[in-house]
This record gives sequence, C-alpha cells and structure tokens, in this order.
Amino acid sequence: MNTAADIRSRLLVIVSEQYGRAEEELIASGLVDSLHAIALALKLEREFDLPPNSFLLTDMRSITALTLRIAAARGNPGAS
Amino acid sequence: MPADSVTVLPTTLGALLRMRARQRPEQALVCAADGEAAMSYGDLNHHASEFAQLLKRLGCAAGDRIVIGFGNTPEFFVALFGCWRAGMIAVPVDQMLAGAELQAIVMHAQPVLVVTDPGARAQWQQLQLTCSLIEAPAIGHPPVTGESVDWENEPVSAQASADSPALLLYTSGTTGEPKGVLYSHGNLLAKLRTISEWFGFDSSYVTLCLLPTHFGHGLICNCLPVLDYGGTLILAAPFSLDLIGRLWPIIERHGVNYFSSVPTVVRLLLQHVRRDPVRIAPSLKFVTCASAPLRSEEVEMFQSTFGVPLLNCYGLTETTGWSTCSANDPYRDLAAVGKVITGELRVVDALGQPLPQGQQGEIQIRGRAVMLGYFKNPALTASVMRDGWFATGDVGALGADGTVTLHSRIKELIICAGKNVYPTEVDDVLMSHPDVAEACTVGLEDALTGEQVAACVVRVTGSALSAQALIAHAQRRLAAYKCPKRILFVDSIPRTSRGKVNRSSLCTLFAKQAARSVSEDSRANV
Repeated sequence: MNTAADIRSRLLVIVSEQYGRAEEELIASGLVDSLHAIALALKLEREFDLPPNSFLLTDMRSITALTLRIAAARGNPGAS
Repeated sequence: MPADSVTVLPTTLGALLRMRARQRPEQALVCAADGEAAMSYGDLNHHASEFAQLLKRLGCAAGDRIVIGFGNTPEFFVALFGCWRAGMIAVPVDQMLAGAELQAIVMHAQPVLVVTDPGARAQWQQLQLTCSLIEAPAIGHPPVTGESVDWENEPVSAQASADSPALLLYTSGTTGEPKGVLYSHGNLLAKLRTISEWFGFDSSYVTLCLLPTHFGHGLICNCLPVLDYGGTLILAAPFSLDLIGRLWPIIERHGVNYFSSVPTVVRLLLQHVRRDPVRIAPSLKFVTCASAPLRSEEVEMFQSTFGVPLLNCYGLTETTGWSTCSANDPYRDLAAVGKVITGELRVVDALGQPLPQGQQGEIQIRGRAVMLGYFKNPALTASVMRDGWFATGDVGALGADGTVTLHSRIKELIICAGKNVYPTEVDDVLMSHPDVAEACTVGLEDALTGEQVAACVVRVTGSALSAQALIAHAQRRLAAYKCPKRILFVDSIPRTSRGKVNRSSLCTLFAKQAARSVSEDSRANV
C-alpha cells in the first residue's frame, strides 16, 4: 500500500470509521479538533506502521496533507 | 514585635506581584517552554508597571475592562498584571472563538481596549470594535512611554482594593445574554493561597502550564498560584499534537515538578506512551486533573504508567476554580475529587435542606472564593445563589471524612475535553438556519473527550438540508469545540408528558442510529 491512491483510500476508511464521515478538510470542516488530531495521529502511526511522533498538527489539516506525509514517511515522497 | 517584621498580606494581585518582586527580584518567574531566557519577578513587575502607564496614557481608568485577546506567552502576564496594577478589569478571551462569539463578548464586556499580539491580531481586526486595538509590547523592547509614574511606591489602595473587580471570564457568549463571571482581587487571592497551602507548594517549585491561559483552570488554578508561592512557571502552548512528543523532554529540561491537566490530556498521554515509551523526569512530583470527570481506573493507569500521583480536583468557573482537591496521599479514594479547600461545601435535597453524609444531592458552595457575580446580570446571579450559597448544579455526596464524590449534573451542560458547552447556545445557532424548525443539542458519551456535542434537528417541510451544511453553518458562528459532531434529523423532538424535551430519549435515538450504521456496515462488508 505505497501509492498515494492506496494511502488516500485507506485514510478515507479510517477517518469514516472514526468520525462517521470523511471530508477532505479535516480541521476546517470541524471533523477533527486539536485533541482528536492527537488520537487520529496515534491511530495512523499504528495503521501505517510509522514511528512515534510522525505527524505535526499541520499534517492533520486535510486528507491530502496526510496522504503526502504518510507517503513521505513510507519512503515514497513523490507520491501525489 | 518590631513593625518591620510584620508581614502585610497583599490585598490585590498587583500588590502580590510587587511584594514578590521585592523579595526575589532576580528569580525566574515565567519562561516559555521552548525558550531559554526567563522573565524574572523583577522584570514582570517592571513591565507590568510600564504597561499600566501605557493604559493610563490611552485614557483607561480604574474599573474599565481590558480584553486580552491572546494567551500562553509571557506577554500575556505583562498585560494581565498591567491591568491589575492600574486597577482595571482584565478580560482574557479565547482567540479561537468564532467571530460572532468574540463580537458578542466585546458587546457585553464593553472594553475600552483590546490587547492582542501579532498572532491573534487578524482575528480581532475582523470585528466591529468600538474601542482601540493595540498589540502588547513585546518583552525586551524599549519602554512604550517616557512618563515616570512611581508605581513601585504608589499606595496599593490607590489602584484597587481586595473587593475591587479584577477578572472577567466568559463561559458562554453567542446568543442571549453572555455569561461573564466576575471576580475580585480578594476572590482570586483566597484561591491562590488555599491551592498553595493544600499542595504544599513553595518557592522551589517549577510548574508547567499546558492549558489555555484564558481558561479558569489554566489561569487561576495552574498559573497564578505560582506568584503566591514564589515559584517558577514554564509556559507551553495549549496541549496539542505538536506538544505531546516534546512534553516529557520539556519537563526534564526545565526540571518541572508539577502540571495540571484535563481528563482528555490524561487519556491522550496514556495512548501516546504506548507508542512512544518515555523517560519520566525524576523532578516530576505530581499532576492534577480537573474540569471534567475522570474514572478511578484512569487515575490508577496514569499513576502506574508514569509513576507519579494524579490528583483529582473539582470546581467551577463561578467558584474561582477548584473548591475541592485530592490530597497527595496514596490511600486516598481515587474515585473522589478530594476535600473542600476554600470556604464551605454542603449537599442539599431538592428543597435546599442539607443532607446527611453519604446521601446524594446538589453540591452548594460558599465562601471567599465564590464569584462576585455574573457581569451585568444580577437576575442570573440571583438564580444560582441560595442564601449566600452558590448552587453548582452538580450532584454529589459528602463522605464521613469530608471527601466529595460526584455523581451527575442537574444543569444542562455538556463538558467536552474540559470545556463547557451550553446546549441552548448551540440550539439557538442551529435554529438560526432558515431550514431548521427545531433543534435540541445533547452530550453523547465519548471515550476521549468525555462527551461530544450532537444535535437532533427537525427540518422545515420540504427542506433537504444536509448535516454537513448545518455543521458548516454552526462553524461560522461557534468555536469548534461547541459545534455538533453529529446531527440526527428527526420528524419531531421527543418530549416528556409535561412538554419538556426528553434529552435521555434523544441520546437513545443516537445510540439506535449508531447501531443501525454498524449493522448496515456489517451487511455491506459481507
């Protein structure tokens, strides 16, 4: 699951499971606040087998930003 | 006894700072968590006097309200103590509130000035302010005025007295009458003293604040007691993803002895440590937790994981923060919120009669730390006072040893990650949408934040309004934490036989909807 499309579709499933729906804008849409962002980051680190503290708050702003961050962390920085 | 050996207790917060600055001018008082240089007691005293001079120059007078529209920086404390030094009422406000909320608060508080910083300025510039907006002078910059007023020696009584209003904290504000809780210097000083005494703080203590400084818990219970006991405050940005990985290194680097938290922070720290085992700095002695219920299993888990006591406390904005605190005693009842630390506490029945120990009833509190009242709202103040007792709206019981346990709430209030959300405030915003005929907001259980905001909504006939569109409508008018996370469209709002909204039925409707979604998902996955 290394392509951006794969990561994105997995992210959409995870966010939907967690919050009942998924939207591109996670923070601006109100779906994720600053505290839920921590819980989501911890879940994504487990799901994508990333090292601890892989995310910053700015990575959580949208599905696209998360996709890019995860792709980069998994050694596929150009995946977009 | 010689006159110079008599300790004169300060009657205002400005006088408290002046006393501490004389005793320990060079000692570090406030240091940014990521910074190196600390602002000393002498520095804050000096900067606060300068800022007070600036306020006077701008025409502000004693008793005027000054909105402080930024927080969690050393400059915040300069603005705060500058207001107090000049006898004004400080109004710290959450800059993350929606524009409509900030506007409503400003309209209600009628400040003569809004003080901001470069990071928060844009938010304030969008409002229709009828007063000036200035940026707090950055520490280290040259003095803003050339005038010399001898604040250091001006008699304390000329600035304010113990009964003068000092602080105004808003707990709601979009619609109707905003609810601003007003405190005197005496209210605040009484609370700081009892917190210091209860926990045995002294000037060697290094305290970390990772809570917002516009928040009663963060400001009154976590930050300001530091001035009472003469310790050092390490100031972090409010707890977030960007802080969690750096928290323990910050504690170690600064030799932090203590910090306060809310249950959501406790839960997130426990989740995080499972991913990233941390080295707990030996300097850390204990942690407090308040603002929302915390289960005894969570206390146990935190203590066994981090090796330090987690002490549960309880209080309300109206009682100037914590009224009860747990003792730092390994044999304490982990399910309780401790014993009363300021004033008196009683438990009463529906008729207001005190109940015997062990029986559940409404908790009432009286004493020096109960607020002066709701600002410009004597009717609302009268509605919560019972012969001098403040009626908390919380149901609890008092044990034989004076330990308080909490059970439920009488008042309609949702506590989401330690922040209060008034359902009627959210209802009003939802009802302002032209496609909404009726709305009722409830708090649903949430494993992380304790409760989450959800709303049952009746659409006007023929409307195809979506949940997303309605949430977006709320987001333009309410702070993010107040906006419903879930909307359930219904044909009618369930009511009791007396016509009151049946909120427990609403929660059941959400539970049924969630069960239906799970069942549909399972079918889809087969």
